[in-house]
Amino acid sequence: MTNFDLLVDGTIVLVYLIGTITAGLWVKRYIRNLNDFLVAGRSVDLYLGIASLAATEFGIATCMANAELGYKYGFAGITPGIALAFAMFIVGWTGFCIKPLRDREVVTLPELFANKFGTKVRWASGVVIVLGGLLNMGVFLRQAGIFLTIVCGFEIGYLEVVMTLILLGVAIYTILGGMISVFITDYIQFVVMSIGLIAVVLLLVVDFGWFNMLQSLDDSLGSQAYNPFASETYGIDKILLDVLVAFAAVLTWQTIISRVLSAKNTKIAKRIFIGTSPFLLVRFTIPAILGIAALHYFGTQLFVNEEAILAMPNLLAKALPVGLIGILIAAMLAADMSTNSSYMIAWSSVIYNDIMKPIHKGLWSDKKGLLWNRILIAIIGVFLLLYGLWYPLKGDLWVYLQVTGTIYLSSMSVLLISACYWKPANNWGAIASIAVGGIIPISYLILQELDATQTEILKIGPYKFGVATYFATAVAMILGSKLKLLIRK
Amino acid sequence: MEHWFWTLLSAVILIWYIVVTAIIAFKGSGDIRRMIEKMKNN
Repeated sequence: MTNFDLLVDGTIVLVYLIGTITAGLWVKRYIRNLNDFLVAGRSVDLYLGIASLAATEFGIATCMANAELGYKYGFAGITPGIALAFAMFIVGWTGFCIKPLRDREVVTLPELFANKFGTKVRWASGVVIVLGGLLNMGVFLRQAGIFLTIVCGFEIGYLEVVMTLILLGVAIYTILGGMISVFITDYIQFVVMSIGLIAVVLLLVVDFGWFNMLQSLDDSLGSQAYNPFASETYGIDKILLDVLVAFAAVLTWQTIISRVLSAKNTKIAKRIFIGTSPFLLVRFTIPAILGIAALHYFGTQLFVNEEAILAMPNLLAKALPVGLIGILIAAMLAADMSTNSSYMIAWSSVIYNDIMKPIHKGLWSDKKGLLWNRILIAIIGVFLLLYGLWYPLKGDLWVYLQVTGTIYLSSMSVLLISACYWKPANNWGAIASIAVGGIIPISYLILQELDATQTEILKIGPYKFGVATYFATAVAMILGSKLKLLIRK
Repeated sequence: MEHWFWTLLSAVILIWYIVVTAIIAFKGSGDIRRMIEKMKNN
């Protein structure tokens, strides 16, 4: 049951879609070379940079994942947002790693690693970044499809059609307009998304009553809804993983780093980080409030375990009036399209720039490079569609995002810090670090699917696996580098 | 006490979000204009 009205809400969504796709296609005329396509000619200023970074880091999957945290853990679920906001502010303020990265004018992280660790490490880093990034992004489309079918009241059989249409719309302007289209549409999407989210949150808070919502939290979760340290489910290992993931993501997540690399200069790059940091708290708080509103509306019994993620979209379908539901869908489409476009171009740039390097050796013409980047974006789109249909998500969505992200976040953050600040670091340490960072989380994902190991693995839990990966990659870098120095002596 | 802390934090975050959205909506368009002009000249 939904209040979605095809005429009123459908028109709002259609106007938004036509507007944003037209804008994305209009700027493709300014693409003259590969640099324009991948980093928008390094001409991005502060406010556009903030809008783009904020829109990219907020998609439907993120919103659903964070609303699920709010529904299950209350305000304690905001902990990853506090960690991310803090990490981005500190990195922006100090310029830690991002200053040397921007100063060297590279297009991707592996390009920086090539100078310090050699071309083999550049290639291996590219593979790990793309593998972790695509696995992470693989669930975005299904979550968006689920959200939209629930809120619009479509039959579940239409899920695949909705997913394909979303992807097609995004792929068209990203393939043609590259990073410039991504920036222009991100700006429109940031404004539409923000207006929609603010309107929905204000309406729900006024409608339900803020303190009535808090009372529901008290009744369902008690004091652990406000204090992550008091929670039985949100313990120290989870908080530690949140902090590690936050710093690693801020330093190395390709879609975040591509904004640093597209900035006009290092000073602007640092200011983009400082300016965007509070938004990472918004990114968790707004969905968490929606999750708490769902808890107030439905209670804890209607959506349990893996169904908890469905509480928020079901609430919005029932509680929002005609007109506002159209604005919300436009807002969420905006959030999702900006994320998908940025992610597609980020991973394609790594595949072309770093994994395909042994093939083109940097000698292909700009025209051929542009063509290949466009082909790669299309291939990534097809992969996302197939993976989104196939992969059955188990457990918290946010945990899945953290575990798959860890495949590359752990080793790449260690490599980046070592490349910038640790002189003895070398290719042996880098390779050991990449191997360890990939093996532990991938083993976790496989073992949790096997009947023989599932119980034991779930008993240990994803948080301890995640934390162990970060420490193990750092140890692998130190031991590998020292070993090479020892043998060479 | 817990209620008031989270109420205050949520209110601050929401107000910050409203203000920043307005600023970025206004100033971001200028950034786009300058970016396109720069790319035209290149």
